[in-house]
Amino acid sequence: MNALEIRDLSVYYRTPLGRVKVLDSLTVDFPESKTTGIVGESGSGKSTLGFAITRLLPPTAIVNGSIRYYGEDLMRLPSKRLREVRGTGVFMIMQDPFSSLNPVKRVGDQLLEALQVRYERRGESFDYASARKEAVKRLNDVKLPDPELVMTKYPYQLSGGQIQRVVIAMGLLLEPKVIIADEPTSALDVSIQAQVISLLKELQESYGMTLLFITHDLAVATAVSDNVLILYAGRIMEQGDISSTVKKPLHPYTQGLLKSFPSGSYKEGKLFSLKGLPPSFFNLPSGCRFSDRCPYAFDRCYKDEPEVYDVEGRKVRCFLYGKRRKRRRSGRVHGSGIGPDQVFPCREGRNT
Amino acid sequence: MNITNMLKKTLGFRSNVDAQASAVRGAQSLSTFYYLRHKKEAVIGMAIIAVFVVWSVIEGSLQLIGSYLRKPSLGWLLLPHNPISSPNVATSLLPPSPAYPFGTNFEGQDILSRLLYAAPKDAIAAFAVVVSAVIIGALFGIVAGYYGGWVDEILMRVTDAFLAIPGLILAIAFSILIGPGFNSVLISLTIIWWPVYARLFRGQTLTLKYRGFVEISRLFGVSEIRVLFKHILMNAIDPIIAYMALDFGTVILTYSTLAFLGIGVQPPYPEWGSMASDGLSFFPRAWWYTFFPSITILLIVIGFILFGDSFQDVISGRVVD
Amino acid sequence: MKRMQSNFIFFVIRRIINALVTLVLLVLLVFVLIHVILPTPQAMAKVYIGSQHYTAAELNSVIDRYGLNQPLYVQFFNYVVDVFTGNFGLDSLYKVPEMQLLDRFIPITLEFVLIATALQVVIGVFAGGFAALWRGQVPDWIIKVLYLIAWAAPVFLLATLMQFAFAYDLKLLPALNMANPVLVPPKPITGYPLIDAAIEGDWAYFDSLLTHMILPVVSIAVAGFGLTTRIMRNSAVEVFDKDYVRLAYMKGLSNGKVLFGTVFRNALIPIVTLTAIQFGFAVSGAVVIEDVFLYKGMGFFLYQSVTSMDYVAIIATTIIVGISVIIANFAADLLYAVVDPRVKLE
Repeated sequence: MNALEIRDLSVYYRTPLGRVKVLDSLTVDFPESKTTGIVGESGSGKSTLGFAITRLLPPTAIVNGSIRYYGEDLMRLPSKRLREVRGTGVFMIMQDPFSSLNPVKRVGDQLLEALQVRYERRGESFDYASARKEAVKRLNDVKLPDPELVMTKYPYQLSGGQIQRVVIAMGLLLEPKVIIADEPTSALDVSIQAQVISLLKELQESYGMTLLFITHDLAVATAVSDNVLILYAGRIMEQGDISSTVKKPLHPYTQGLLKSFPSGSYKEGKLFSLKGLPPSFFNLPSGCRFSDRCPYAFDRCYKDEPEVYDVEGRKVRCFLYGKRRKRRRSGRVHGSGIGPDQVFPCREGRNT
Repeated sequence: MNITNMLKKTLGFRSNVDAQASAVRGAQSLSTFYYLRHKKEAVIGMAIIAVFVVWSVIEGSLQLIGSYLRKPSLGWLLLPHNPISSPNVATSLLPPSPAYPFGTNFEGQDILSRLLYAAPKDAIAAFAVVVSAVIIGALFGIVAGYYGGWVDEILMRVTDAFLAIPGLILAIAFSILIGPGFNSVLISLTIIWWPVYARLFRGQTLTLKYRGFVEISRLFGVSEIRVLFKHILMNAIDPIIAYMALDFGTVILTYSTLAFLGIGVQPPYPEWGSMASDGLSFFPRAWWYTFFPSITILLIVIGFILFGDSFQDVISGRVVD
Repeated sequence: MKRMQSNFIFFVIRRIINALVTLVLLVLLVFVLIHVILPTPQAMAKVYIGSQHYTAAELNSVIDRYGLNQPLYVQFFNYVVDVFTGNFGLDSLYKVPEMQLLDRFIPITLEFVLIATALQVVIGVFAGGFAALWRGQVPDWIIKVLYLIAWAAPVFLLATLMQFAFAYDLKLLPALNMANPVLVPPKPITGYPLIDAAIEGDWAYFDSLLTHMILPVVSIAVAGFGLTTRIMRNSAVEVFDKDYVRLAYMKGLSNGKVLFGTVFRNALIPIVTLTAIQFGFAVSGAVVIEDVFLYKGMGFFLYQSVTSMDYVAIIATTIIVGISVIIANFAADLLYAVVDPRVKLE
């Protein structure tokens, strides 16, 4: 059973310099109760993917395609239903801890807000005392010291790592089916990173959540994920389960990423790094987007873009594995009245 | 680097580094003029300002040369009628017509000509006051922000003291103390205006102080004054220029309001605000008398506000349409 | 909790000291100006006498009485004490203690300026919030056009326009005066007409006061709401882009809860400081308004003092107005600290 099924998702941003297509006809499934790592460099569109799923893109964005959450297309849902999906259905932990929490409200109040939502949805009446107890328990679960005190604090009084953990606790309180974690560790010290990662893994396993773990660090993804999705310049380059991907990377980009890791043995000599830089979205190369940096590129790579090919139960977008695959059509987007759509309007767009 | 930061700002994502200034630079160098050229409001604003400024320069020069050569009639060379002609009952309070497009006033003078004649004064007032205020404000603000400590405290308290008195009130009080006339109004307005810029510059300096290039320059032994001037001033000035664009309009507003109250340019010389005030006594019978001067003020100020507003939007990175 | 409370007290004390220092500097400013313009004791004395005719003896007696011969720092000290005790001397024109005159005029202006400031904040906040919600679309444009014109229009234009439209033309509202001149005003207990009328239960007069106040108050509010709208709109748009708003939606909160609980609360923060500034502008506007609508308040008094060269009154009025703005800023500072917990209460 797939928790999320994304078909032909394209996201554009309108900028003063023109339209930028940040995600291009993305098609991917996220199986339930598994952790899928979404790996890509900065600017590859991975955060955009997260925001697209929760429909919280900034107003400059235009979205095409469909995102099915347990069969319902999130792109077409009316606001009311969408609101119900958020929180107890899909939850997102955002990248920058310092702007994640409401600066003028105490942490405790914000956690209780989340609990209120859950109680309401389940038809339970809100009991302040027990809600508070549960919030404190969760803060304990995320290994925050002195949770009672933390409840009374304001966000500016907490460190990045602590805020990140508060947000995770909030997610837990909501007991969502899907959690999207956008670089939850990038703003943290290395020691805290390890803690947060193991925490997430623990929780995912014990609650059976579907976790989408977005990161730029393949090593981190390896530690956490069951499946992995490699994004480059807005396209999926490789997709598959983590162990086979790491043991036998198919796409040259993945191979390059893995080669870049220091191996831990002494006399390594010069560290490997991929030549060149990722392309700017304003200036995408014709043909395969990785062609200018690929050590195996041949003629066809510069002319056409490869389709996604199935290989050994995994997927690769590379001519080295050439075969054919079908395409789907794009869908339209729905918005209504005054609602989150005013704050995060999703415009329907035309394919360029 | 520029494009990425600008893109990040436009996309609405938070840049984790203090991208304000770099995004500003990026936005500026690439899209400022593009944006301003294409945003309707900015274009209208710029058009109005251009007409106003060009005319003021032409007319102002004529008046200047005229007074220098003792031939004041040069001032109304380009005008349909003599703006300060002697009172003439026959032409008094005539409604708008082809001969007198905006009608005549009580003394029988053509209102359009008087409006055109008075234009350079507003332009000079706006320019002189804002520029002087910026210079004085920069001095106070940058010194206060840079050196900090009790220098900062004292300078800021002084600034607060000035700011405490609403501009108009202070200008009125000054006018009596300094005496009537155009120049004293300019002085009063400048004295009122600089504190805001001192505040702005101080704020900017405080942000820029910790940016690194200050320390680096000093490590290289660059003299303090050069650091102040070159690095801090040049970087601080960006958002302030945006504010200035808006401020020209505000000065004109205040200046006309003072004129309305009878402070500033004295009769028989025309001034938009005082013309509006005089016209009130004949309202609504001779509606044109107060209507056209008021509308002129409104229009010119709108021009500055339109342009200044758009400019500020660009500088702050609110470039999303 | 206890620690935060004592922190807050220290904060308040610190702000009070700031306000007082600013006040003293304000007085210093005025003092310096006076002495620049009237450098000699003789010149000052002439001002106090207030007329063109005086004898040398009169001059000297004034100099002695007011201690105009003393060293400057002594004079300044006395001056500061005087200001704090409300002793501005005798009015040059009316020859009564200045404070008496001020007592009569201040409340009248203060009343409608406060109401006008409150009104323009309310209008501005809602207009700005509305515009932010529909940013880039028709309602946004309309609001923008409206407030741009309102902002660009000089106060006197708005006032006279309103007067003409609603009073003279449509005859809906009274054109001039504070209240219907036929009615008997209430006893001046507090000096604030609305309050006095309410105390006495004189509702007819109260009504009249309100109807007469509509045009002046609306004029100032319209002139001022532009800036508030603009700042509110920009503030709200900035808040919209913040991650914690996304989080609020992500939690599954209803749209109303997010907008009013989170967005508004954060967007309103800069408005607090802005209101103090707007108060200052409203006071300036009052001068014009009182001219157009014939209100006998501070603006009128100032104008009259200027035209009749009543130096003492001018100085006193300036200082009083300055004090009121300092107080407004102080209040705004305190409110800001309450509203935004990030303010460091050192």
